[in-house]
Amino acid sequence: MLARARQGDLIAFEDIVRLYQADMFRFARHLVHDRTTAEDVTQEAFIRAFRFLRSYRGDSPFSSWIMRIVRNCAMDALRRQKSQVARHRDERPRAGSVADPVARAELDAALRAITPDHREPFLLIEVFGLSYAEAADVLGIRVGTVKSRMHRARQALCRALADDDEQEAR
Amino acid sequence: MNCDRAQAAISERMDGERLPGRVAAAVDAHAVGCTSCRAFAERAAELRSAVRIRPAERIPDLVEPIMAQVARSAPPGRRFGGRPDRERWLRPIAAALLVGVIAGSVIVGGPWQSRGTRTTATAVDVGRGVRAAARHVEAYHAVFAITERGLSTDVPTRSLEAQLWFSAPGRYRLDVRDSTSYPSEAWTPTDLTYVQDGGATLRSGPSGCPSSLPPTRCPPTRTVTQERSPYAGAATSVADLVVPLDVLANPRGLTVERTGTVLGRPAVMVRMSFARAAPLFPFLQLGGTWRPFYEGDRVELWVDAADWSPLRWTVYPSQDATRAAWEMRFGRPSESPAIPILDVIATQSDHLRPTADRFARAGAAPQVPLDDLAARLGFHPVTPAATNELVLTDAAAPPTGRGSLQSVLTYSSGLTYLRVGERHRWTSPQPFGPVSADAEQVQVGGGVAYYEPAAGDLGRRLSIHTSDTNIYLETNLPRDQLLAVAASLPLTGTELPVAWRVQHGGDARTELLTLAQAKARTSFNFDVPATLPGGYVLASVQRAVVRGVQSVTLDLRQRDSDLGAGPIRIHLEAADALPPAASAHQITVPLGAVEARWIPSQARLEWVADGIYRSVDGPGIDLGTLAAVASSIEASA
Repeated sequence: MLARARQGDLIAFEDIVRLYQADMFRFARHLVHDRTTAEDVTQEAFIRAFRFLRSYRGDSPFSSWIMRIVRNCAMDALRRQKSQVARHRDERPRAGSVADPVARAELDAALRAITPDHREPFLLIEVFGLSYAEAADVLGIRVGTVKSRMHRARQALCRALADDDEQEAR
Repeated sequence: MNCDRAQAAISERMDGERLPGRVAAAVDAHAVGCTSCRAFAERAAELRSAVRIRPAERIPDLVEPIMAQVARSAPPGRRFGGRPDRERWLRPIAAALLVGVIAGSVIVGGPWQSRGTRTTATAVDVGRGVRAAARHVEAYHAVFAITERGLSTDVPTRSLEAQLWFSAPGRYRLDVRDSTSYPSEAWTPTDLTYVQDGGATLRSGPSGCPSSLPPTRCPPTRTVTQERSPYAGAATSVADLVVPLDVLANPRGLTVERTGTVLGRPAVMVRMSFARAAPLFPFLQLGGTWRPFYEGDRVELWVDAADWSPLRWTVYPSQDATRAAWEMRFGRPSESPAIPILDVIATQSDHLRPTADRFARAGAAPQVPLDDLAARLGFHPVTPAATNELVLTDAAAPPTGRGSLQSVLTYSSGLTYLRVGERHRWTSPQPFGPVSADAEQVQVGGGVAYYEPAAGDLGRRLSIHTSDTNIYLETNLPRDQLLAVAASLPLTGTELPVAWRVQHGGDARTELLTLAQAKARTSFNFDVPATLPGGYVLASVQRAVVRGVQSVTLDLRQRDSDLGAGPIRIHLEAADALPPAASAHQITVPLGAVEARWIPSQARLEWVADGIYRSVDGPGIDLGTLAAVASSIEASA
């Protein structure tokens, strides 16, 4: 499928889009915090991927390669979005959409509160199941840096959630 | 180790990184005494569940807009949009199936296709996927339909249903219900229950019954066993019914046959031998009646390509000529390799977390409040003043089978446990509990106790004997902490009674002594070797006199765990020559001025010097290390 897509076979590329669009959209939504922007980012990423498919040499898993493109597109989108208000407009928990909306909102808030440097490795490893090496590949940083950022992200999130519990207990 | 380093290591371990043994041990030791690090580990695990177990969100289908733009940007002449209408019509179904593949492919870190029947996954891909999935699964529930053929001519086909529940960490329940119509009531239905809750397991079901016997000989009794093995490595495990990690993690002996759809889910089929697939059949080990299987029989296993759970596995008779010999030997009829003899199908499954009561150990020794326990036993069980922040989680009075009573108190926190058993009347000539008579005698408080390192499915153990009572402690706490817990018990251990330490038989007399006692009573000199592998300490000294000939045996054990390498045993005996060789395969090894004989099959190095035969046995220990131990003995002789 990949080989055929690299030869310009659009049917093969369509299969790739079907295979990866759900995870790429979820990753984009975590990065830009907005469904509409995430849809735009996902579309843009696949179009860039098609354009640069010939440059993909297979050194890293294809999923890492395309996640790296999604991340770049998301960074571009965030740079274009000057308004913080717009960035957060979609983040209120929707009633009835989850079993425990309060817990989910707290977790989302905690995730947003940590720095992007810490949030990205956390999402790639914890939510998308990437290995340290694959996450390092997506983020363009060393494995050791991924390890330490992952650890810091967990510490920050655990602290934030513990604070929430304490406030609730008071 | 400080908290920051410990938490970094805990974080890495959560992500599947392998820590060096020393680091892992240091982290565990630190975490036991550090509430902050334990809280971090718990929070991080909760965090994982919270981010992973979330309701599915609505994902937009972006294929059309993306492909429209791609087509505009593609150079003319490239193929586009030529799919037949029928395929377009089928797309939503294919997309639904592929959602699972997406999850699976992200987990394995790379895509592999599952369309059609082409094999695109290798055994290595499957192994990677299964290992990653086993790390992620938090809860699982499944129902399996089991069909067995060929039990006997009276019962050619049986139908059973197995129901499995799993909740991380370490809680499993497997119920097997037999719905077969048997020809008479003499047949005992194979209804089984297996519950594992952390350290404790419960098995219930008819006792095992050889299928070659007439059914009337099969006792229709039920046995309930409360096993005490804490984190038993060798115990029955039903974990492979959740994700077949034992079966699939190692690609050796596996063949990936094809991919396809099973029960509406994208799946991959792997073929292996029955012996290789054994962890997929834990119910065969749990009791009841089952037909026999030949170890070379063929197993075809379909696993879900998204969450790697087993969907269907089928056993076919092998075509090997050796199976015919096996059939003849066991009086089995010849069976066709085309007809399955056992078929297990997952009829439903989900990842919802089962309620805790699902893992209640019905039929186990009942949990009783501590005060009631005292009334029931007729004595107040002793309790340690210091429990290393472990809290009392279980108090029980399991029957001993000999009319007397005993208590078992369990203290725990997370995976750490401490068990305190007590029995007043104990007359066996050995320490109370699974502790051998030649265990290491250690000082505890003002008295003595008998210690054994962790081995097999047992933790570190300590047995304490007093004139009034007997105590048994078992834990996965480090040795020093176990000794500290024991020192906080309100009693003082005494040496084992002399009658337990001395054995007579014919012309022989053996006695367990302290090193000083043994030295004083033996006519030749000896001592603990100056050179020993790290972690070994003198556990016991045994002196024997057989037909007037004296010998001494020193047992050296590891301080914490017997896993990996066993005890080192040093034997000294008055003799002028080596005994006849025990094995044809032997090597001569120089030890300073003398030559020693190395017998690899016994891991024994032996030599004679100055009228004394000496041997060093060390199963699992290399010759170089044993030669260094032997050299230090010879140098000091």
